[in-house]
Amino acid sequence: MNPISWFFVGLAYAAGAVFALGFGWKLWIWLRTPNPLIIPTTPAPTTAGGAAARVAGEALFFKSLFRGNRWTWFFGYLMHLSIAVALMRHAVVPLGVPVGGSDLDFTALGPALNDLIRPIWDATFRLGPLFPIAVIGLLARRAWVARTRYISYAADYAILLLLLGIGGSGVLMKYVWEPDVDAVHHFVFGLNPGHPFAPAPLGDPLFLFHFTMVMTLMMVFPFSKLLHVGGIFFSPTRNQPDNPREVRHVTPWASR
Amino acid sequence: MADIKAPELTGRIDVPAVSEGASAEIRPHVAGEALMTKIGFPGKLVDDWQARAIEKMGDLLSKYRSLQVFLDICVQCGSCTDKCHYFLGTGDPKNMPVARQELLRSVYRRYFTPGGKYVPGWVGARDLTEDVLKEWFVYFHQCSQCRRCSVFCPYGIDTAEISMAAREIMDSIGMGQKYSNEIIGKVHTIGNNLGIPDRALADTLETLEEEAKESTNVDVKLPLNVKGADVLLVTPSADFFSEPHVEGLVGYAKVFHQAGISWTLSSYASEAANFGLFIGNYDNMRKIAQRIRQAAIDLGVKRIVIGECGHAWRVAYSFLNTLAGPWDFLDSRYPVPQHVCEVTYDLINRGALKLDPTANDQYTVTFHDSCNVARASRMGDRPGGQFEIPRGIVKAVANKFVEMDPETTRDRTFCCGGGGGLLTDELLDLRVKGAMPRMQALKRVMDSDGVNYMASICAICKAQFTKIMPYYKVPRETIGGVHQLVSNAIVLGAKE
Ligand code: HEM
Ligand code: SF4
Ligand code: SF4
Repeated sequence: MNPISWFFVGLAYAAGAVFALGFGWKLWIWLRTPNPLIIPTTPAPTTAGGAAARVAGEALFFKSLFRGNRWTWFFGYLMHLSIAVALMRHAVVPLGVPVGGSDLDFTALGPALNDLIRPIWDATFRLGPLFPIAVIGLLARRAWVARTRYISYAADYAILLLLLGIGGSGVLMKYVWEPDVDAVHHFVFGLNPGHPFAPAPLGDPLFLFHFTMVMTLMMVFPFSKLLHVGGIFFSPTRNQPDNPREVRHVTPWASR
Repeated sequence: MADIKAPELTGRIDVPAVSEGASAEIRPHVAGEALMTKIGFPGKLVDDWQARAIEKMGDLLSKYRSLQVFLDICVQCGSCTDKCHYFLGTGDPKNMPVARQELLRSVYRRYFTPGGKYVPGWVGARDLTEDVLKEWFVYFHQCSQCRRCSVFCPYGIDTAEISMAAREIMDSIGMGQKYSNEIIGKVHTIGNNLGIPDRALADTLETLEEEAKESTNVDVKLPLNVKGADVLLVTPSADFFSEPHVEGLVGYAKVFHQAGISWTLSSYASEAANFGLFIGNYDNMRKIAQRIRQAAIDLGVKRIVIGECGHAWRVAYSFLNTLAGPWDFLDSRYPVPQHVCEVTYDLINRGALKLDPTANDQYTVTFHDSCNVARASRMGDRPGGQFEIPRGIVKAVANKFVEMDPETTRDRTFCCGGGGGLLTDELLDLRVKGAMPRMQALKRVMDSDGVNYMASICAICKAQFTKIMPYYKVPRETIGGVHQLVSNAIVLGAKE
């Protein structure tokens, strides 16, 4: 293994650590901070189950954003759907399925489920190009509309550009410059604890770019607005049930 | 009146072009030393205000999850940018909810996040300088804490929470707002916002009883401090003196009279409003709320009913149980507290009131949802009861009812422009402009359906519209209460 390979191994471990510790620390801070008062934006569900469903509606469909701005919803939803699909397709790699491939076997689930899932699964790996398109849509809106331009910092553009870099290099790898898939797998599996480290595929600069961008994203995650991934589940205006007359809510610091 | 110009009434709500600094010169008066120390704050800006402000911010971050989460997770998506009535009315970009939050968030980043400490320029982090403090004072007093932005935010980020925290920080370093702080001081010593002493209150109620007797020939009572009454009515003190509020108070009295409910007002808790909410100060809010508990105990009542007032209903409905409960000494068959509209609606449904809606035939009525009722409370036992119950009453007491554009009602309602502690003369310019969206929607139904009465259940809305409608060349009598209509329609003594 040459020093450059070691650099990428080190990068992966650093990114993993920063992400896990940073995000974990933030989750802990949110968890330990109390809600002294009941403040759901009403009308709100009156039960805990109803409130959970409300949060699910936000996380799965971006319902409030849909009411707020259709264009942002459209591009934003497309982008997140693409991210979800990409995460899924990367997650099955350990099962022996290549990221862009489609040879996952669902027949064990029975013919009915197989017929349902098979075409959806096959379709997902053609969705790749939608990701950069969605990100460009969001970038364009941010830069063109005077109101969003006014509220945007360098960091807001940078994160979108980072995602564009990740998505763009991913799509290019699939459709234009396919890397040496075996070497990539070898390297990535070598990152798992317990596996011997494998050299980085230095002959595939596009992959190295893709990889470096993803690691960068993981490292900025806990210090950026990407925290919304966890925060959406902590927002009291959405996750509190509206039951203050029925249940007395008390918080230690506020009940003297 | 001369130098304040209302936007033109076209019936449309247009999103204005961004106009930097458009409302930068509108600011409230600063509270003087006596007002500040009276309610527990430093008398004037302390020497080490910067360090103290950061310390206070840290303290609030550890006490309010809302603040911590909201400051962490905004993605600057822009969904809220065109939702605030003050932005729509002024075009000042710092009145876009996310930009208002950024005034605080930029300082949060600088002192509490690694990004802000090391690469402030990239992430929009700012030192807390005197200019920033001045900006806080201006723009956190251009937020009526109406929560409209929260409705459209993918994470429910509520700018009201941010502006309450900012005001709390400013108060804690000695830079408070005169209007709100003066009122809070009056409640602590006298019991109500207007500073009406016991004697004057008793006189007023007596006069109202005489007037009611003259006009109806029935002995409608407005009892004060009656021990052993069933219901303690706590209502905004504006109901005692201001027009059109007082008509509503007579309306409540007639409802209680006709339903045979024994009730009383309290001179100790002669105020439903709780400006502690507006300044984000838990201790003051709690202290004011505790007066209601004390009055309920002293008078030995069984139920608590709250009059028509938006933020008062928020504090009562959402917080009273926390701030002043538990209420185990009251009659458990009734929710604590109840809104007067819940009481009246229930009586109407049970056929306990005889109503003659033709008494309101000179009116074509529409209903203005007040922000705190709409987005921070409930009535009845189902979500959305806060919309159905007041409308149910209006439809029962008036024959002609028209809805405004649904984009501007229910949880999407627009603030009157005077909420959140901004109902003060030096902010009149802002108040007139902030009322623009509601006035446009009203204008549309005035033109299309001949609406000439906008019913509201909020003392601030009533005062605000009474003041600003003339700037739009709309008669001030167009605004009124729901119980004012009830008062007109109720047929007294008809039960026997
Ligand atoms: C629980 C999962 C997630 C939820 C519920 C969620 C939700 C949202 C919502 C509602 C928005 C605002 C609308 C928009 O601009 O699209 C947003 C923005 C954003 N999200 Fe997520 N997200 C999630 C996960 C992620 C992940 C995993 C990433 C990237 C790694 C991500 C990156 C972004 C970015 C960059 C923006 C800002 C877009 C812009 O600048 O316009 N999100 N997210
Ligand atoms: S709470 Fe209301 S006034 Fe304040 S920023 Fe949001 S929309 Fe504007
Ligand atoms: S809608 Fe919410 S997340 Fe989007 S910019 Fe406004 S406050 Fe931030």
